[in-house]
This record gives sequence, C-alpha cells and structure tokens, in this order.
Amino acid sequence: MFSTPSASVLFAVLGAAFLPAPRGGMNSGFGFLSACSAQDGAAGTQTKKPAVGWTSWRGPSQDGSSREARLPKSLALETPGSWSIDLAGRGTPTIADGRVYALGYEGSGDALQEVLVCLDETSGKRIWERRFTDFLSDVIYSRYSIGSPTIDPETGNVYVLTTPGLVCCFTRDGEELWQHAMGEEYGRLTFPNGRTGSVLIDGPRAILHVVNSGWGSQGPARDRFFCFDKISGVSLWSSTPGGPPKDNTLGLPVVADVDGRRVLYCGLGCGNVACLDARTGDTLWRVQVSTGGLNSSLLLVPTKVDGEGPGVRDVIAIHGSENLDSSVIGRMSRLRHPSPEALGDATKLPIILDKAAEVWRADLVAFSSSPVLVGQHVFQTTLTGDLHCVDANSGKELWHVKLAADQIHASPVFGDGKLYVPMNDGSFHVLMPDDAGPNVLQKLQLEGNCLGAPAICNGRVYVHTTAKLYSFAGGRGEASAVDHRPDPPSDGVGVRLQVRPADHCARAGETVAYRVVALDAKGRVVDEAVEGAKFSGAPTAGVTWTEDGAMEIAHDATPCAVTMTVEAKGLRASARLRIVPFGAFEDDFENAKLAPGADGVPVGNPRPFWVGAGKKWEIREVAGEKVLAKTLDNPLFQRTQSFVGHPDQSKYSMQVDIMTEGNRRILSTAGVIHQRYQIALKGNHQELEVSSNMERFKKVVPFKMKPGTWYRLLTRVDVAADGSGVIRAKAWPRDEPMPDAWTIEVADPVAHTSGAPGIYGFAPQSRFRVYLDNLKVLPND
Amino acid sequence: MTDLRFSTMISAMLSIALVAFSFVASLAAQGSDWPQWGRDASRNMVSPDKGVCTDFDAGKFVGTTDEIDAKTTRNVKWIAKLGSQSYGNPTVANGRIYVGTNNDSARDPKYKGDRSVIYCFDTKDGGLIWQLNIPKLGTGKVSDWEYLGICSSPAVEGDRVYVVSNRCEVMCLDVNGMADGNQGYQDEAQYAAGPGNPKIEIGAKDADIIWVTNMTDECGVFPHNITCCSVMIVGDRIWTSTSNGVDYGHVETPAPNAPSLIMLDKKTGKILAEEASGCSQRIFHSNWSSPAYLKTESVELAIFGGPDGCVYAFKPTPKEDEDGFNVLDEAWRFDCNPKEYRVDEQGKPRKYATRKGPSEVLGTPIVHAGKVYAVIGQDPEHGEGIGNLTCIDADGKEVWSYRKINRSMSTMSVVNGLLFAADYSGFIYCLDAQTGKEHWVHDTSGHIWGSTLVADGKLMIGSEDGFLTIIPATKEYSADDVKEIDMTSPIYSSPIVAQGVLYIATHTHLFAIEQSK
Repeated sequence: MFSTPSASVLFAVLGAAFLPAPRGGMNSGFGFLSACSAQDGAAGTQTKKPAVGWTSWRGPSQDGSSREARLPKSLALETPGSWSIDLAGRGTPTIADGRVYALGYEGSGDALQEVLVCLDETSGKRIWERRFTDFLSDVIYSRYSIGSPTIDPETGNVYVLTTPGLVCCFTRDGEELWQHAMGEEYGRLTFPNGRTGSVLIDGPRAILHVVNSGWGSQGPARDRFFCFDKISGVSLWSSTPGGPPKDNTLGLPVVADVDGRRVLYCGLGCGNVACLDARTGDTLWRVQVSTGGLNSSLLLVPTKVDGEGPGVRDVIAIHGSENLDSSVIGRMSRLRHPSPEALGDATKLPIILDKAAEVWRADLVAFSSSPVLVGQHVFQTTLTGDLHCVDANSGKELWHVKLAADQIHASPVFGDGKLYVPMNDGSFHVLMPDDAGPNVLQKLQLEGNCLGAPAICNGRVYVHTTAKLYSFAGGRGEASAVDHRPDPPSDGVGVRLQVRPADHCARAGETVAYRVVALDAKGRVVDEAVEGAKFSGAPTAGVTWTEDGAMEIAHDATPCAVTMTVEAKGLRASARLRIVPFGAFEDDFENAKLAPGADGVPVGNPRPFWVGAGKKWEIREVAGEKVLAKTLDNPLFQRTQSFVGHPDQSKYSMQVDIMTEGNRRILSTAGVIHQRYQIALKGNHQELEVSSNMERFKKVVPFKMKPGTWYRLLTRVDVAADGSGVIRAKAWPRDEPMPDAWTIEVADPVAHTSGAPGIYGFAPQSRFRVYLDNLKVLPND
Repeated sequence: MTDLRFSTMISAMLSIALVAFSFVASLAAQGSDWPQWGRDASRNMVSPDKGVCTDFDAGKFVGTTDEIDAKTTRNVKWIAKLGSQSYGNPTVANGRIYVGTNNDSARDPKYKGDRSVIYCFDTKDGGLIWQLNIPKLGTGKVSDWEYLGICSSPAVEGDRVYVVSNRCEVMCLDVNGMADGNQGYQDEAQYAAGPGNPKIEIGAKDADIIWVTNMTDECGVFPHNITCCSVMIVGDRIWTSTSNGVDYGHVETPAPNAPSLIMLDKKTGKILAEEASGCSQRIFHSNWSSPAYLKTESVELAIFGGPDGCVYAFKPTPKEDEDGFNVLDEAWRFDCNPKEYRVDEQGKPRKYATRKGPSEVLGTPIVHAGKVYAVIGQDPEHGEGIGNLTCIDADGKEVWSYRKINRSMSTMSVVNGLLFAADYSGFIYCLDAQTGKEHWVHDTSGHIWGSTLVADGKLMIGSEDGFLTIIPATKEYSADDVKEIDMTSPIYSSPIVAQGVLYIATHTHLFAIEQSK
C-alpha cells in the first residue's frame, strides 16, 4: 500500500541484464528516448510556437474545408513558387509554421523505408527526415505511408504512426520525445492493405485508433482507442467501444464539445458509429449502420434551430458495405445525436441507438473516401469514381459527375469556393461547384495514384501521390490559426479517478511511478495528484512500492498481466499493467494447470502476460510433456504472432523446440519472433525462413522436416555499430547433436536494433496442430 | 453486440421483395439452354438464340428500399431477388435457372446471417424451387471473404448440378432438390449448420446433395479469398480449378504442393487426377480461372488458365507418377505474358501487382475453331494495368497477340470471324479472330468484371456502374448505335441467353428479359 506522490512518471532501467536499445527501427542518427521518458505533462523540449495551417489531414475544421480565401483556380508546376519532390506517399501532408510534414517511402525491397520529412514550405527543401524500417507487418505491394502526420497546434510537435505501428512524437526540429511500439506493447494487428491511420491531437491528448488483440479483456480483436499524454506519452486510457471488427477501419476521429464534455466520434470496424468521452474513453453512444466497417471520417453537422440544442451536432457517415435493412450496398446517412441530457445518466451509458437515429439516407458507396462539408452541402467521391453533391439537411442528391473509373481512399478538399478532387487514377480536378452542377475548371494528370486528400495552406494546394508530393502555388491566401482547445479547469467535484499510466507494458527491472488524478463528471481534472490513493497490493512477486510511491519491478519479478484497482476519497479506479521479462527466461510449460477442454482433452491457457495469444495457443500434454499447441478451433486464428517480451530488448538469442502434425499434403509452420524478425520452420515448404515483412525482407534455405518429429531452433541477432546486422538460425532434429554451423545467416544492412521476443504459428486452414516447447531467451554472450 | 437489424424492414423484404414477380405476358421464344459457364466446354460466350429482347427498362427502386417498382419496368418477364453481392453467373437447363449469390436477402428464416447461396428458380416465373445455403468457412477474408457468396456458375447435366462451394468443395446436387427425397449424401442438416453446430432442419425447398469432395482435405488446397471455379463436364469427368492461392499476406502460397487443377469422377466425386506441373509453386495470387476443352479431329485437351500467367493444355488421360499418383499429362503450356511484362529493361523481375508487371490468367480461355483465346488479368483490388490477348493454336504456338487490351477478367466471344473482348478498365474490343486486327474499341467508362455475350447479332456486357452496354456485333462501329441500359445496381456477372430469354444478374436482382406480347 502506498500514497501516490505528485511526482511524475519516471521509468528507470536499473542494471538491466541486457543493455536496452533505442526503441524503433529508426536510423536518423539522432538521440533516442525510451517510451515515456519525458516528464508527464511537462513541456519537455517541444516548441512553444502556436501553429497555423493545416495540422491534421482533415484540416482545421475537421471536415476537409479550408477557411482561406484567394486560392488558385488552376494548378500547374510551372506557376512560380510551385514545387514537387520525388516521394511516394498515400496520405496528406500537414503544414504549420512554414514547415511541411509528410510521411512517404523511399527505396525498394530490403532497402525500402518509410520516411517522415520536414520540408520548407516555399521551396520543398528537406529540413530534416526520420526513417523507419518496416517490421513484422503484412503490408504488401508497397502500400506504405497511408497515415498522415499530425501537428499539435499548441506545441508544434509532430505525431506519426508508422506502418508497423510505432507511434512517435517529434519536436518541430525532429527530436523524438516519445514512442510506443503498439504491436509489441498492446498487440496492434497489421493488415495487407496498409491502412494505419493518424494520431488525433485534442487538448493535452494524443489519441490513436487501432485494431488490437492484447491481453485479458482486450484479448479479443477489437477496434480500440489508446489515449496518451501528448507530451509524455503516458497512457491516459484505452477503450473498446464496439464489437468484433469485420474490417480494419482506422478513420481519424472528429471531436466536439457537448454540454461540457469533450467527445470524439469515429466509425468502427464492426459497422458502428461510436461516440466516446475524449477525456475518459467512456463510450457514450453508438449506432450500427453497416455490417462491415466504416473507414471514412465522419462529418459533424450543426442541427437546425429547432434541433436538440446548442453544442449538439448530427453525424454524417458513409460506408461501402452491407446495410442492416437493405441488400443495396453502401449508404450515406445522417444520424441524430442524443440529447446532452440523455448522456448525463452514467448508469445508462452507452446509449445504443437504432434506426430512429437516422435522419436521412442516400445510396452512395464509399469504403474509405471521406466527405467534405461546405455549409449545407456534402461532397463525396464514391466507388465508381463519381463526385456527388448532397444536401446535408435532406440527403437529396443535387448532382453528380463521373471523374474517373473508380475511387479508393482519396478525398476532396474545399477552399475559396473551389473543390480540389484527387482521384485514384492520378487525375486531379479543380471545380467551382454550385447547386446546379460541378463546373469543372481544370483536370490535371499527376504522376502516380492519388490515395490521400489534398491540403491547403498559405494559398498553396498540396497533394501526395504514389510518385510525388506536389505543392501548387498561385493563391494568395493566408493560413488561419488552428484552434487549440486546452481542457477547461473544473468547477465541479471529483467523481472518478484516473490512474496514469492507465494501460502500461512494463519490463522487469523497470520503476514506474503512478499518479492518480481526480476528474469531475465532465472528465475535467479536479486534482492532478490525489493524495492517499491506495493500490490493491503488489500485482506479482518481485514488485515493491517505494516510499515515494513508485512501483519497483525486480529483474526476476514474475511476469504478469493484471488489472490493479486503486481507491482514494471513496472512489475507485483501475489500471491495466503487464509486466514482461527483460532478460534471460525460459518456459517448459510443465507448471501449467490443465483442465478438460471442449473435446475433453486437458488443456491450459497460454501465459497471461503474452499479447495476442489467448484462444490462439493452448498448453497440452504430448508424450508426457506439457507443450504449447497452436489451436485449431477457430480458422480465423490459423496464423498468429504473439509477443512474450518487451520491445526494448536486444542482444539476445532464442531457442525453441518445434513439432508439427500433418501429412504429405499439409504440415504446419512455427517459429519465433526475434528482435522484429520472424524465424520459422515452414512445414509445407520444407524451409527455414527469416523474414520481417514477407514481401520486403524474406530469406529462406531448404530444411527437411517430417510430421511427428521434434526439431530444435536456435536463433541469434547481432547488430554492429554501423547499424547493420546479421540474423542467424540453425535447426536440427532435437534428438541429434546440435550442428556447428548456422543453417541460415542473413545480413541486413539496416537491422532492427531491438524488439520483443515472441512466438509464431501457422496451421493452414486449421487442419494440423503445431507444437512449441522449451522456449528460451538467452543473452548473446 | 446487439443485432440492430431492423426486423420490420426484413419482414417487408421477405413478404414483398423476395417473391419473384411476373410482370408481363411474354412472347415465348424458341432457343437453347445455357447449362454451364460459357454455355458449353468451349466457353465461347455466344448464344445461337434469336429474337432476344434488348429494348427494355429495368425499373426503379421504391424509395430507398431494395424493391424494384414493377410499374417502372418494360419488357421484363420477371425479377427475382438475390442477395447483396452476386458474382455467380446464371445457368439455365430444362426450365430451371441456377444462380449464385449470398444470403443477405434471406428467403428462409432458418438461414441467418452471412452465408452463401445457390438459388434454383423456375424460368417461367422466377419462383424458388430450392436453394443450397452454405455456412461460411470462418477464415475471414483470406479464404472465404465476407458476403461474396457463391461465385461458381453451376453446371447442369441431366438430373445433376455440379458446383464449387465457398468452403473449397466440389459438389454434386440433385436438380430436383429435396422435393423427391434425399439421395446420395445424407447429412445435409449438419452440412447446413456447419461443423460442430446444431443441425438445421432440411425442408422440401432445400438442396439435395449427392456428394461433396473437400479439396482442402483431399488435396491440401489453401483457397484464397473465395473458391470460385465453374466446373467443366466432359464425359464422365468433371474438371475444376482449386482456387489454391496465397496466404493472407499475399506473398506466399501456403500449399505449394496442392494442385491447381483436378479431374473428378462425376458420379462419385472421387479425384481421378491432378495437375502436377508445379502451378502452385508459381501462383501470383490464386487460381480462379475455369477450364475449357479443346477438341479437334486430332487432339483432345483440357485448357487451363494458370495462376502463373500461362495457359496449360492437359491430356484427358492421366498418367501415374513415380509415387503412384495419377497426374495430368501436360501437353503444352504457353506464357501469355510477354517477356517484358516479367522482366524490366535491366533484366530484373517486375513485381506482381504493379501496373507494368505480369498477370495471371483470370478470365476463362475460350476455344473456337481449334484455337485458344486467352487474356491475362488480376484481382480488381490490384487496379488497372497492362494486359495481353493471345490466340494460341492447338499445338500451343502463338497465332497472334494483341497488347492494347488492359488487364481483363472477362471471358470472350467469337462469332462470324469476330472476336469480342473486354477489360477491367472498361474497354470493349472487336478484333478479327483470325489475325487479331482491331476493328474498333468502345469505352464504357466503368470497370468491367463480367464477360461479353453475343446473341442475336448484339454484343452485351454489364459494368460496375450498373449499366448494360449493347453494341451491334459487327466489325462496323458507330457510337450512335451503342445503347446503355441502367440496371439499377452494379453488374459483376455476365448476361446469358437461354430459350430466347435474356438473363442479367445484378448484385441484387436477377432479371428475365423478354419482349411483351
């Protein structure tokens, strides 16, 4: 038991068995800070200049419209001041304070890297860049850089989410303030379509929308929102507003004030539109509008004078999947917001709305292109390459025009009476729409495909293609200041507690200082550090509380995943904590407790501190030994990566025993995740494989394996001072002596410098089990 | 999760929209059946029928519902409600029409949620005779993509229907369904429920399964996205591709040793032979192409559009390999990708799914007058790209090729010395079938997934934009002669003609078009 101090969170690595490496696959040559190393809530080294410009991909009004005047009617690189750079990308550049930030990718094959560039607004000259090497993602066909950077209007800091799930905060000058590896820490999932999403900056918060399969109650894959302190990266809350996703929908939420609350709205992969309290993560209401996912960003539409009251806006959503009440695919609909009074009774939240919430509907199909709101007009590009103009009050279509054969992710933007519309085929259209029609002014053919939305800032129009980043000059507009909405001070009383960090992955040997904050009914902070908060004991063996309230985790602490409770002033709250090994460890699974499973055979759960393992692995007895088995119950889980350690770990070797069942047609595959490399024995291919992205980085050698035979796999990763590395692995029948030579050695010129240990299994079509046993993580030396 | 489906609307749909309705007293046309994909094993998309009505209105939806207002149609014999996505091309035999779709407009309340369906309708009025309603595999998008339904076109011969299911199965069904009792396979109730689930009671309007062969269990197949071949019947054998394909990660084929093409005994479903040419070790994406049959005075060959971009010709008599397995004897293979599609100017391999890169054979190769015609293409998700149309002789040698065409999933039509083809980019081509000389090209402006049909002197094809384009099937072209009919919903399948009636399946409805009296 302890009383929480007002001290900020401090993570101290005390004599770790292995030296911690910088987080992430960056090779910028800059210094690194571990996750959450900046002080919670403090300014750190961030810039203080307030931002003007286009700070998130949806623009300053969150609806794709610009407030600038005097924008160009025609776009040309020949116009003085226009520029372009060779940089493939699929998102939207963001602009503030004379600097343009864009996420793109360069190189190919092994050398491909995502790159966050900071450019001079007037010349396009590169001021700084930060590079990221993909790891363990399923992205194919170079579908990189779909997300966009977000700029904090208050500090000028820049936030980016990379394809493999690193969420990073940089200062205006490129210094990294914090980083989270969402996959290894929280079980964020990866998808071949490359969708990543962008960070929402709202007041003091950085909010991220991911699909993850974590641990405990967050084990089942769901759309989840993770909220961090935007300065420190400390977790403030995580939230699960919907059900099982049918798609990876990672739309950027929009935010609004509703009766003193700060709320965010977002479409989910389960087909719901959800509204969350941005300060607490509570789900306030949701409504299902589709059986599939909603990728597109939402619009907030002011209600009429006789509407529900001030501050409440209706929501316009569009999707491209099956509807609930019609077999016609896709729909745009306007949804009525519940009254603020209805949200006031916490016991009745979340409110589940139904069809009655629908104000109007229009038969439009868009999977990920987002609508633009201009007054009472909604502009939307759809699947078949048409641009539609819809009355926001009635849903009546005023007109539509076909601009291309199709549209995928790209969205229009509006400014100064003009609509700038990029299409998938690389055509870029300038229109001057009115009630009667689109009034096309220009069609420009760009190099590459357009998948992002344009941006408007200081009279320039920007658009990113899969070949270039364009900045078209010719306008004389001036960027308007972007609203920064700090949370207002509370004038109420504390009715709930919030533990910070709320959802944390700690490594053995780490010291974590918790802070308990009191919030009022609107989620505003009443007390930054509640005195006398008491936690519910030590979560696991090897954890102690210091006198000043920090949690000290011993190097040999027993790994765990727990939901801790805290009490203060008659209030209770909880915090999720996962403690993972950080150093040598091994598991032969012999201490697992088994109980009869569905088929009567005794089975046990995988280790609770693993992420992404529940229902995908189980412990069984094979020939008198307890071993880890890939489950076959659900073919959705036929292929699984699970992390068992911490992303900062480096300089280690791994060893595991592997056996597959099968026949001459089908064998299964298994192996380890080792410092962001996947090293596996592939049954059907009779190969030993080292990969990090199956398309970009994959090397194999032949390796014969038979069903029913145990093999031993030993792996090792070494990284040199110049950043290059060698991945080595050897495999042999377990009953035979270990061979001297490595079976495979793979050089990686830009090696991953750290990464969580994990396990991998793939049972094609869930036909035959594959087993792991005697898992070991060992120091390299 | 709370199921917020709006029950009142569903009830309305069940009571109104799902009942096929005859609109007009129609002129009975004489003609032939269309009993399998491509009408026969040549797969040449041409109907000999005359008197085909192409002057009609498909109608309009009632408000924002999915019900079509009968009063707004013209020369429409009947309309049958399908699901929300319909890729299964209809076939017609002996007064019955078979079509694959999904279960989004459920006709039987015992079948709930996302499932895959084959409907057997009466061609007189579109009334339901029976349905095969299949549960999903549960793999998600990788092997049985949500809502895709049955994409296979049923093949009918005598009293049997052969089809490939979304569960990677080859199936034989009774044309009469359960109305004449349960024959052959007896566990339809468990099949309908899915493994491990409580059985679903089977009724008179359910399908009667004769046999089922699971290609994953028997051959190790890892289907990609959906299993969708339209099987070919030749003598006592049926041929099907397996849909073996890449994993979720789209880079690697998890089952490199599974065949891409198999031949089965049509009476028992026993696998008689399999392709052993290594197709599955060269898969770009999946093998979805359906086989065709080349028969001349001197040769008989099964023609298969390979997942590696080659057309394969297999002899129909298998041979035994060194391990004692019956394998198909490869007569020849022809690479439909010009060399420069596979390697760039520096000799480096071009990446798949890039605009200038190589493609698989996705549309069905067709056979006409001893020659094979094939196009290359890719999953539309990969976008547009360069294509190639090749004419190959019976010995596997190129006669001519035409590179102006873009990636295509379409199956072609040859008639009166003219070859009609379409591509995903939306262009329709008319070429000289002997020489490959271009007569004309028409741009529909919309993506084309389906195939050309030539009937009664007209070329017809549907588009993703929901239009049926009709052009005189002549070498002369005039834009003034092109007609577009709004079909109310996207068209991802192909029109057919049987007994003089034009059938068009949109995503949501099956239209029977016939001139009113």
